[in-house]
Amino acid sequence: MDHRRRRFLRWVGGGLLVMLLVFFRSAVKGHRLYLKQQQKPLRLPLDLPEGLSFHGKVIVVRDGDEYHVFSARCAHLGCIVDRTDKDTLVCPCHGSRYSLNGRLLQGPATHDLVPLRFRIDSKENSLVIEQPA
Amino acid sequence: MNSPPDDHPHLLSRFFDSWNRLFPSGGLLCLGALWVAIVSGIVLALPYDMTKPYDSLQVILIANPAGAFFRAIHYWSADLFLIFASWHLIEQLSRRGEQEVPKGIWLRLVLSIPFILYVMISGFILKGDREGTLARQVLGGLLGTVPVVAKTIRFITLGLPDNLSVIYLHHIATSTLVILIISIEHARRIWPEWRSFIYMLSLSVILSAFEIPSLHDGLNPVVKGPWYMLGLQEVLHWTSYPGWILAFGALVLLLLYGLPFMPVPWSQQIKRGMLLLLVLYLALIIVGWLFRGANWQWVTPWARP
Repeated sequence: MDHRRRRFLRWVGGGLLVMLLVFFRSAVKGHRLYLKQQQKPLRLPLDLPEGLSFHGKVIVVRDGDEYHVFSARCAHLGCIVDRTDKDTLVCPCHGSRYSLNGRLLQGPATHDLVPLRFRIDSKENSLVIEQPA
Repeated sequence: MNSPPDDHPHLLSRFFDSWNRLFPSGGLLCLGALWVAIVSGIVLALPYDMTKPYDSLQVILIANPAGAFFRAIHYWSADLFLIFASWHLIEQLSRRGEQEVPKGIWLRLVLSIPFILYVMISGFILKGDREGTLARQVLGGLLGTVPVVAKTIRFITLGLPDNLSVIYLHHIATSTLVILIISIEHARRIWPEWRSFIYMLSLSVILSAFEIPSLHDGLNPVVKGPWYMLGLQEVLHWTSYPGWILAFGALVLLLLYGLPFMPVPWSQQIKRGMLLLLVLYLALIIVGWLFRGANWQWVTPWARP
């Protein structure tokens, strides 16, 4: 009798634990979605210097009136690429290299820097960039 | 916890026997170092500001010599804890100590290893300097390779991207408590042996007198993780699929846990394999420390500026 009761309690305990984990995961997912919705786009002035400039997690390349925007997060493990070396963008953590327009040149990363969506706000004279996740 | 001596003690066992005749065992020293780290951490928590970690540590380093000293003691005692925890594990495995530990305690000891690694790396991240920030990115990237639950695990362990509160909580509370509880259960004592505590405190003080750990100012192009992670940083330089590193780590933990359940010849072979891996990892740490410069490029020590 005691053995059966213990087995029953183990099953109930295990079931409760699984339920708790599922609810916990939902709660975390819900909170992350909420935070994502709160995230504001990055605004930069249009009169950025010609060429490459670094802005935290974002890299902007200006060529006259044309802009190219991509994530500064290395495609390998997410280190912020914030400097150049020998005319290439280089990750300080593990040495991945990218061209100045974000194309992968040398690993260990396996793909290019992620291009980011942006728009030009003529009223505010600014570049509005969707922040990378 | 004392396993029966081998009939034919090998080199490692002889080394540990010699050490234990002169000094406290690795396990006692490890517990001593843990308590020095905890006490110094409590003192350090007073001036530390997790909303402005770099600034608060700069103020401590520049304007608060006693604070800087306690920070150094905390840093060195944590390193000593890691070293003597590893030492203790090697010693016990060399004596087949895993056979003597109750299975539930052995499971918790093995599970404490990720917590120990987390408490160490979280301390590094909490510096809030460039190296700490990049270490957080790398850890987040690694956790992002876990199948299915990557985002959940990353959020639980690292919290919000530009916020250190979750990391701080886990560093000062969750991980420390888990490690302390498991250590106490295993050692069957709460307080460290007084001799071990004095040795670890003295060694931490001496090391602090020689070097106060600095902060990375963001201008130095050389960015490296903590010394015990340099081997991993070197391996990550060579692999485009970092998820395999985590999988390999999980496999090592699984094998470690399975040692008491295996036939002795198998477990001896696996232990030899693990020892070889450890030696290789130490060699990689030396490579990362001496031969890697800015952007993790190869440099010879004598060619550095």
